[in-house]
Amino acid sequence: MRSPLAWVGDRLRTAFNPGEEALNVPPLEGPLKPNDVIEEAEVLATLPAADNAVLQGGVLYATSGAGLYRIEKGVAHEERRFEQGVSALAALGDGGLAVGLEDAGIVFHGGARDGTRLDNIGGARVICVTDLAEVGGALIVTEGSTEEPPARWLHDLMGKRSTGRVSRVDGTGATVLAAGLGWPSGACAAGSGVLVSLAWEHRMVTLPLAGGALLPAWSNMTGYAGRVRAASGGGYWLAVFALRTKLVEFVLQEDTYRRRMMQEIEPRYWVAPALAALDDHWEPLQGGGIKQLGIVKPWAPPRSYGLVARLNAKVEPVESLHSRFDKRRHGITSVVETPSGLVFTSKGNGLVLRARGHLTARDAA
Amino acid sequence: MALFYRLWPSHVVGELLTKRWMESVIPFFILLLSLAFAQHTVPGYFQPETLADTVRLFAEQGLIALGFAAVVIGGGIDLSVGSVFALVNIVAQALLTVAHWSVPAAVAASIVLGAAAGAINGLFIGILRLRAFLTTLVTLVIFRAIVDVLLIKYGTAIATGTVDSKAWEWLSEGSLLHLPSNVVVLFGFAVLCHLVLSRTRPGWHLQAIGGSRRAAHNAGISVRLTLFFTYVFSGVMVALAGLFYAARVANTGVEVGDGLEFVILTGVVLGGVSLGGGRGSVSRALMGTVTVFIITNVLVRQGVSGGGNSMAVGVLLAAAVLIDVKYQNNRHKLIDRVYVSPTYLKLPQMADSHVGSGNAYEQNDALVSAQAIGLDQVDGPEDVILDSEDHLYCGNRTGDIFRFSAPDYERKELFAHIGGRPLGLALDREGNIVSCVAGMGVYGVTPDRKVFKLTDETNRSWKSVADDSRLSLADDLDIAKDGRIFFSEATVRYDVHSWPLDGLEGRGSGRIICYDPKTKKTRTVLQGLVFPNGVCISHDGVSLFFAETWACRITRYWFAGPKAGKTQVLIDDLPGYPDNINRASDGTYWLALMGMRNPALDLAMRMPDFRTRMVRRVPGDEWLFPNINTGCIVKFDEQGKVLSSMWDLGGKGHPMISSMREHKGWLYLGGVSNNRIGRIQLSGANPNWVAHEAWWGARS
Repeated sequence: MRSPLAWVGDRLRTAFNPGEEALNVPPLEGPLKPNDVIEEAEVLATLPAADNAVLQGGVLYATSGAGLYRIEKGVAHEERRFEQGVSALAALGDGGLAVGLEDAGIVFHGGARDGTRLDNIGGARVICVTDLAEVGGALIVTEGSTEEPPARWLHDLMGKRSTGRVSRVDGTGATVLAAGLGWPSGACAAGSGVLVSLAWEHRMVTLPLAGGALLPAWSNMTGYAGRVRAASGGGYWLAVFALRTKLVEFVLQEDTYRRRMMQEIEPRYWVAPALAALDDHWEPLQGGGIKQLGIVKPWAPPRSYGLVARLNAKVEPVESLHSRFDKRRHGITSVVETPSGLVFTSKGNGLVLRARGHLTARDAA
Repeated sequence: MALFYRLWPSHVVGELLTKRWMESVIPFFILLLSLAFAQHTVPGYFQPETLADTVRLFAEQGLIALGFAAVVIGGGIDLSVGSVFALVNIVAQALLTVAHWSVPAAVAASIVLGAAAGAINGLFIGILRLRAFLTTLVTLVIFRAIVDVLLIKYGTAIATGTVDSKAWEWLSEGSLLHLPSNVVVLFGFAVLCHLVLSRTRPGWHLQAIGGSRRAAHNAGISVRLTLFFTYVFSGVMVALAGLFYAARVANTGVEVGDGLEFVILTGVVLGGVSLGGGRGSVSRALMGTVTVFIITNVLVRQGVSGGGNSMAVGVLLAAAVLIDVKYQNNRHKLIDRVYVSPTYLKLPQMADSHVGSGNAYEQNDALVSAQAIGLDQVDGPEDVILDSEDHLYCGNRTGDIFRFSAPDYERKELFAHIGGRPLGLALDREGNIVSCVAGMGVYGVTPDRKVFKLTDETNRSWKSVADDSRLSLADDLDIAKDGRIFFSEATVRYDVHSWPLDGLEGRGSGRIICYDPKTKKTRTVLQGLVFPNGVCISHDGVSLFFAETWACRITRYWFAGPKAGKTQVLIDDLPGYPDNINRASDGTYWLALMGMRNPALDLAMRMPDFRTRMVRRVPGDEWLFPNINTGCIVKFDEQGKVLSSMWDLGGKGHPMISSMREHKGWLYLGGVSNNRIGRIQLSGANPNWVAHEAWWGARS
């Protein structure tokens, strides 16, 4: 029971500092309890910016920069090099791949639509495809932003933008299902609709294919949700590419500091999430990250982190894989279930990884 | 903006709040307000003629308040004061007018009556441990019933009788030294109570009991007897007040003393005597009582009805209790919120130290191969030093000085236990190890392991609100050839464990202090420094270098010679936070950078309000910190030119460094949060150079 005085104090504070909310970042607990599974995972391939692990026709694909690679027996073979960096990749039912390119729309590789391009949706240029998913014969496109290309995701976050879109592309054309979103970053078929990650909004929502209101599925998440893929036996695998920290949440509320930081400091030294630890002494350090007796605490507030979560059909977490603050397999951007294990990419540290024995998680209904 | 933060003493608020006398300040201001209110509402309120009568009225309440305050400080309450007051009033008058006792006998009997009434309360509450509130509520009713019975029986007889006695008259309207008789008595008791409460064992016992009855009992205090006598004392005070009232008014009405407990309680609590017990003083109880008295008195004179008056007292009581509870519960929170007071600190552009920068700070792998000594056997060897036999000494977080024996440094032994947190080390002419010990001062250890104190205080500075005479964070030292010890105190506002808060403040709260063993005098030489850390006397012997950690600069100070007293900034754009400084064998100096600056924190240091809010809203583990995970060693010359640096690129060998000591061609590395001492062989250094022998001259 809060005292009335505290209540009055709160009201006064909000009156004088509008927009100041509690720095409420939920802890990693329950099914999200930290472990070292990512740390123990097998390295399938080393690619400088490993991303977009996708299974098509029994072949594992991944990308790094502008290159599309086949991962076979621990070796990455270049399949194709695009004119721009690949920012999204999806396997299609016709055997082809849909490829999102940085600042350059969507191109189809193989399959029935091989070579065709899509540059505009709803009259706006497509510059920031974050994920693609085939749902009910249509292609769902998530664009993180209509203003910033994927490489400037940090500017989009720290600039507090909210211009992302989710669209449906089918034979009749492209339809925008929802717009004005905080960095939609993942999509996956969910029943008759689509499950979408909204990274900057710290939540996942479901969206009817025909368009309509967003239904909250998981709110106030600890991390920034990224790509989401169906799991065998129901449910989903979710790649969480960074964790929220109270300091970053605080800086997001401190507009003056945030603006000056963005103007005066190189982005990699910002107080902001990252895909990997820089191991550079100019990187901002938080109190918990200080080495004591030569040891870094794994629980220290992480600038970068590795996290894959298994969700059940109700989009509740039931299991998770971690690489903690003191480890170096961070920035997990994609995940895909293969017959030989769960494959995911650490974009931050340039690794394609496979964890075995983590496909047996029962759906905790 | 910078100027505003430099001049505005925002840090004083928190320091003021930590003062105990601050608790009297609020009641004092309320008293002043009530005085102004009286002066404003009733013109001529403070004229001598009327004031004498008013004060005479007040003195009776004052006496009761003294006893009441004692009870409340002991953790109790005495609601029966009004009834006892009425009882004494009626009995004293009856003894004089009906029974025709002599005045001294009647006075004595009345006081005994008051004491007895108090003893009944004391017996139930103190000895039998009943609840004070219920017990005194019951005695309130019973004594009041006795008064009613006596009134019916003797009321008329008293009213028609008269007392013819000089003594009785003195009680009613006499004076001593131009002061009304009862005021003199009140004053005497107030002084006595103050002395007892603040200067004697029973007084301290009473406060201890009020603070925590159980703890007081466990400490061997006789809780029951002490409480018993508190109530007796309260009864006696009430009896005195009743006597003065009887002599002055000779009133036999039923309303005498009605609601008195309420007025007294309001006064005492308004003065800041905490209802929770254990906190309060005589002066505060009286201040509050005066305030309530003035307000009710003024209202009466303004013709406000009795109901209106009670209402005013009730509102005051509610306010006082609210303030009491809120203040006691939130005082520490309030101090926590306002104590940390960041200021504007603009650091100069820093040199880029990344690989490829090409300057003297460029990162390299010189320390990657550092050997570890005492790995996992030491906890935070902030500084290290070697003696003439090459034995290695270091301080430890546990307050110990450890020794690692030459030549292999495999054997660790406890050399001496000082306590506190030993930081900087030095060897004096006699071969004693002299150490700055955070939390204690400057201490020495003789070669045969005896610990002795050099100094633990300096002169108190007049500008400081907080008492800064004690040394709270003595950090590093060096010894001049004349034996004078110059040492730094990093900050006077925080202890060694709270150094990050001082870093976030970026305020000049530190000083350089000199201890002269010849005169055994300690005096502050320089103050207002931003976390002064390393101190090193230069090769010339008349000046010293000191590092200001958060300001990232090195300053030179001349303590002798023609430039004595002058300071000069030597280096002010370090890329990291400077720690200890030591002489090198080639006539230059070693400097440890205990951590590196980073752009995000540098920006925050120019935004004090941002840091203030961060400290309040973000938990400590998530604050933006100086990066002390990476450090380096820098070499500079007499002119402040940085010559080279040594790094542990990759952070695998010895990344965190707070001090270094050159000895016979090796450099020994200390680190305030390390689990080891490091050492590396220096190329081209004099293999026979021993720092203290070079300084003091080799001993025969």
